[in-house]
Amino acid sequence: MKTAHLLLLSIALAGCANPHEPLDPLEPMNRAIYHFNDTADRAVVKPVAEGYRTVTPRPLRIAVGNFFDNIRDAYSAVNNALRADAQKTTNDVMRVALNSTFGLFGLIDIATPAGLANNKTTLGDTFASWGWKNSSYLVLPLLGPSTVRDGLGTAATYTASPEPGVVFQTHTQLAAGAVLDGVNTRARLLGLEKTVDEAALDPYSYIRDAYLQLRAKQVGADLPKAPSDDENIDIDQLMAPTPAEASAPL
Amino acid sequence: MKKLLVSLAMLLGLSVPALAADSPVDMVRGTSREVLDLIKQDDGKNTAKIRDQVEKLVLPKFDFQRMTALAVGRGWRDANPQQQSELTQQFQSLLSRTYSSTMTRFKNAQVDVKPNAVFANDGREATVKSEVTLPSNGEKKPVAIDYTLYKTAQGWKVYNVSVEGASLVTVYRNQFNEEIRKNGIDGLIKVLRNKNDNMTKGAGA
Repeated sequence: MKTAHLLLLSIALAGCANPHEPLDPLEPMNRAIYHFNDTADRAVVKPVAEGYRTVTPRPLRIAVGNFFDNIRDAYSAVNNALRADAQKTTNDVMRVALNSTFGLFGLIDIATPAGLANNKTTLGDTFASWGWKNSSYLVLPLLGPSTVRDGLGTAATYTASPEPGVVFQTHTQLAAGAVLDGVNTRARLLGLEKTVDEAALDPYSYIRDAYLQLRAKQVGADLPKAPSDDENIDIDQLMAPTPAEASAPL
Repeated sequence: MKKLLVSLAMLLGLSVPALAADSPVDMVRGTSREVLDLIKQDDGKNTAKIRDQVEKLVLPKFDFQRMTALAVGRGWRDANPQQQSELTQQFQSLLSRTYSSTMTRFKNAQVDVKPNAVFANDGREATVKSEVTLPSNGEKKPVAIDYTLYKTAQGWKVYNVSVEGASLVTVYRNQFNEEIRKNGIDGLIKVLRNKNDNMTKGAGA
């Protein structure tokens, strides 16, 4: 519900343009949420994930990951149907069918070795494939990097999640499941935060720019150029003034 | 199908050795294999030594000046040769430190370098695609890593690397330009140098 409010707020704010990064008009708000997430991660999420990794054997963590992955496959099947991609829909339906039965309720992923590709499609991807290619960067509380398009998709997916009884029996179990999923995912990414700290001058824009490039590639979009980069930068031209380069034979 | 490709590749490699040694795909494939062989020898005690060996092997395959120019973008032209070489040096040590510290994670990686490079610019530029799988992590999807190379007198050199479409080089452009806008090129050099100094101290090296 909180997410939905923030999304409305972010859309209301989407008019303010950022002179340097066209896809981040919400930078002040995003930075604030980023700092909240970073603080929460250092204080709570990361230590919990480290503890979790210490007390659980790896096969169990993989099984937990597979279990939630199987649920995501079910959503992916719906999305691929909405994208009118029959082949991927069939693929995802087969994945869920195999993994939910022979894979013991999704704990074992037997579909991937069997040749059914893991091609998770989210509601955000569905919006993208119907034409919403570029979307403003949006940092979600606790969930991290997203875009307005993908955030809306995430919010809608949460709202539409099945009533207790399908996978989880009660709302409490549903919430506990979400926490376990989050901790398990964070445990898999332990160590990543150190790399970002080492690599980035400004971790916020490092993560944002990497995420936007990655997402653009996934949905097949071209990122808009920043005003300072109004033309494509031609690396040969850029290097041309150096005498060593100019005399280099081809 | 795979067998056919492999035998075709071998046939080509045998019949035209000069051409094969010149191909960007062979360069990337050969280097990845050597790097993987090296990091497999890491037993926890010799990490520093292995890291040195990997750096000796990998660094000459990159053109850090071109890489830095690509990262800085437009502002590169405004830097004088001395600033350019200082920027290059600082960016090189930032990148090599960051990525050599992640090295051990790739100990059991499987690297599949795709045989078809995509050429551009009259064959002077090439993009080599590869897929990296980390089987021990329970990750199901291979990670796509693409290398962009260009032809120099000393052979093919890498100047851009992207992971799942995100470039490890252009991801710095906004950060660099922000710094240049605020404090000029010397400001950027200073920030990079401070960052490198702090990290070396932090690592106790």
